[in-house]
Amino acid sequence: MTDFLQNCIDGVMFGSGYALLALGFTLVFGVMKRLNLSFGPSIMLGAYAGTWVYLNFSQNVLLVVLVTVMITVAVGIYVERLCFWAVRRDATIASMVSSFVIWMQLEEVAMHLLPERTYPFPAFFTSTVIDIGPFFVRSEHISMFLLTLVLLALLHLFLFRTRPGLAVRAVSDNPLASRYMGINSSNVLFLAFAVVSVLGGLAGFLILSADSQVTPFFGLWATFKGLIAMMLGGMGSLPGAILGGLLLGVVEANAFWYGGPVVRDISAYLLLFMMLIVRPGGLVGQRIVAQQQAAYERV
Amino acid sequence: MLELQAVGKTFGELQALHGIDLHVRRGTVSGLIGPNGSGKTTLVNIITGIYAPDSGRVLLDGKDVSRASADQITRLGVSRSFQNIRIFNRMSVLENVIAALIGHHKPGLATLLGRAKRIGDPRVTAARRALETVGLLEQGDLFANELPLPLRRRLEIARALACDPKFLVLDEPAGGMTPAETASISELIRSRIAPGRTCVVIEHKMDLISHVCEHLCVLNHGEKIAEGDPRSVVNQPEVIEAYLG
Amino acid sequence: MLNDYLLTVISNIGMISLIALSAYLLLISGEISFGQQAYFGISAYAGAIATTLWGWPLWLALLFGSSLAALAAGFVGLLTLRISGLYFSIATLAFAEMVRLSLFKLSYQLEIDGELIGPNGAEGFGEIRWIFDNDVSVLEYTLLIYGILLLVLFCLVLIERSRLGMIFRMLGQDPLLTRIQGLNPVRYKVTAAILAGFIAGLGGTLYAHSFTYIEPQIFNVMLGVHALAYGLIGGLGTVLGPLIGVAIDIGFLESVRVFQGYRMIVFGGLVALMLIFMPRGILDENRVYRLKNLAQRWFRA
Repeated sequence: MTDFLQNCIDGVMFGSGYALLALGFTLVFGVMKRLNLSFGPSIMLGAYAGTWVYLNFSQNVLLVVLVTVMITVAVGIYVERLCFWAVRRDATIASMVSSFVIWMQLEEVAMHLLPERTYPFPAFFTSTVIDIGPFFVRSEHISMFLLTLVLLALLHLFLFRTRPGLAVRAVSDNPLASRYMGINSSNVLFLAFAVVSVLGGLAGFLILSADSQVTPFFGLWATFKGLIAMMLGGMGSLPGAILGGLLLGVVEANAFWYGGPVVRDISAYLLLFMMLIVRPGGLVGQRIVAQQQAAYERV
Repeated sequence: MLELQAVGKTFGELQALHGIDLHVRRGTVSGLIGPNGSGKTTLVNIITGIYAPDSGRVLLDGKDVSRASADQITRLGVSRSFQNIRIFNRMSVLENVIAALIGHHKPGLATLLGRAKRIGDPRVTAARRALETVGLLEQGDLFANELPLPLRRRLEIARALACDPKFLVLDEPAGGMTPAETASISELIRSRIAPGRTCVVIEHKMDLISHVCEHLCVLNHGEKIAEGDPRSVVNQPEVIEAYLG
Repeated sequence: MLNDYLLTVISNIGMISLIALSAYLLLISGEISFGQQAYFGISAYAGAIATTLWGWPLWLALLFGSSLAALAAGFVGLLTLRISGLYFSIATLAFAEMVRLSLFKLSYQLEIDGELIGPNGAEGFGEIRWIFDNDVSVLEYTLLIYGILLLVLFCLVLIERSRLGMIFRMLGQDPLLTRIQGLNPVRYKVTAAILAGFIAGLGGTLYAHSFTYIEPQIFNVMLGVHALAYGLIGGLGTVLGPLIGVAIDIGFLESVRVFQGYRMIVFGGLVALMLIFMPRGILDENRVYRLKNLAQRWFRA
């Protein structure tokens, strides 16, 4: 029982990172009902650029954060223009496939930048173990968890207290109506991608520096963890993304404890597969699936 | 032939149909009219099995088909066209009509593996005949998405007609057409399609309705407000009020 | 004279064509699967186990591996009937990753000629020696691959011209309209999934015996995405489409030295541009139809 609770604590800590990634997916999905599978690789490329600066120029951590975020945003915008803006609006699947093939490009660019398998990533946090009763937590996980909460609060402020945030929510709620209200959905899409890339860049930095290393597999890892967390919680739902991230973290932590790394990964995919079959919209996102279905079957 | 008994349907909060009774006699053409959102298309979707009714029954030749799926109902001899045109865009015009003839009887393995466009195949002959009926035979080799709108509507009719259905539903066959095209399509329905068939026609255009239909039913807010001979029905005060108010 | 390197490239094109055809079959029936590599992998393992550990002849192993793949594909097809579009794609992706990760846990070794042979988790599965034990030359094996590929192509051309093929294309355009034509989509979706699984399976067993060594990592998502991309580049109007895609990628990009190290950048960019300007590939339905008409007229004159 203590083990299980300890796993749950670890899971929640790590799940907060998943939640950040899932928020990126869910915001983009909400605005345009399309999936950006290149999200993870964009972050990976950003982090690679950051590492490159770290190794070649400056040990300044803030500079690394800045470069990581800026390159992630630049790559995010490249992906947006090529795979989403240029592709016909109703071609949901084409965009998804397109973002998947761009992934290969990004990975190869990253390999040209830093050809080794593993690189050190600046550790932003000091690493100690903190005891709480019978349980313990690592300090870098606590810092990551707290910073995630701060980012969530900022995102919430952006979405619910600013005019651009209102536009994002309007388009995601009803694209047609917001077009009639004079909202330029192409601009909103651009904005959403930029915001999501900032979020993704920061999330990538937090996760990597808690790990203090970066590998080319981070792109794949980030896309899948974010995707699974979003789909578990609910397509296009913000609370769903957080819920899904935490759920995924807890499930993985336990699967890892009882079965090892392969079982952890299988359990995540199994959970996703079952969820898609039983409730494609996730725990709280069924409304969007129903809407899409209705729009499709309209006769 | 077709009988609806107290058919009701709700979508979420919206009650689209409240207890509709309808009787379509064999060999007649019935019109179904009503303002936008009055439930006409919902009714057609229930008849053709796309939606299941929440209450009431649908009887086809005395058999309860309320729970039958759309493909089963089609195999029972019900065909339809769509208000917002649905055709197979990436096939030729002729192939679109052949497509309607494959599933008319549940196809076995031999049927499935046979060549779709074999010359002399009864399906190809039937498809050509249907195209000829609606005047599209010359365009048979065009790609379906190259057709202009009025001809697409004709293609839909040809497709619905091809398997020689017992019961035919036309959902706004003249939607979006000019008066001349409307006149031509209503003449087509009257002289080539209606004879010997049971049809239901949904339409806004009264000249088409009065030219084609022997019986008229008016829906408003999901309820049947009038029924009977077209000329007398359109003069009833409720009907005038529904359309003007 | 054909050297061994060239032969390897050619046989590679043949085997990858099979998984591309498998993805194509689903593409024309309207489903995008990111998971065909699962059936490729299942059959690679099953077929290799059958020849290496059980001493079966290759043709039987080929049938066994492909049938197992078809079975798995049918199972996934049944489970995913209710979902479509991106939900279907992600579900197939999740399934394929489950299969790949399970292969890491698969350990089944027997002692043959004093050596432990068989799949062993992450270490993979080596010593698939059917080719050497039966004195099959690289050329002969390449011919075998192309024989099977031609057979599959022939069957697919027959299907394309048949009513079944027409139903697949109808489903790909408008499932609801297909239903209204009296056809139950369930039957045909599952049929397409099983056929596609079988075709990918043929490629898998051939692959295992050609390379003599397989490991779970080979059957990752990128294999499936490539398979999908081939059809999208070459075109969805004819079975030749995916083959054109494979030829462009493996035959052209991989062999031309200029692209060395930049192949993914070129290939990824190419596919992305194709999706913008020719969303259904070079030989899409419309162009294929025109070409056929042209050929017919030319033939008559």
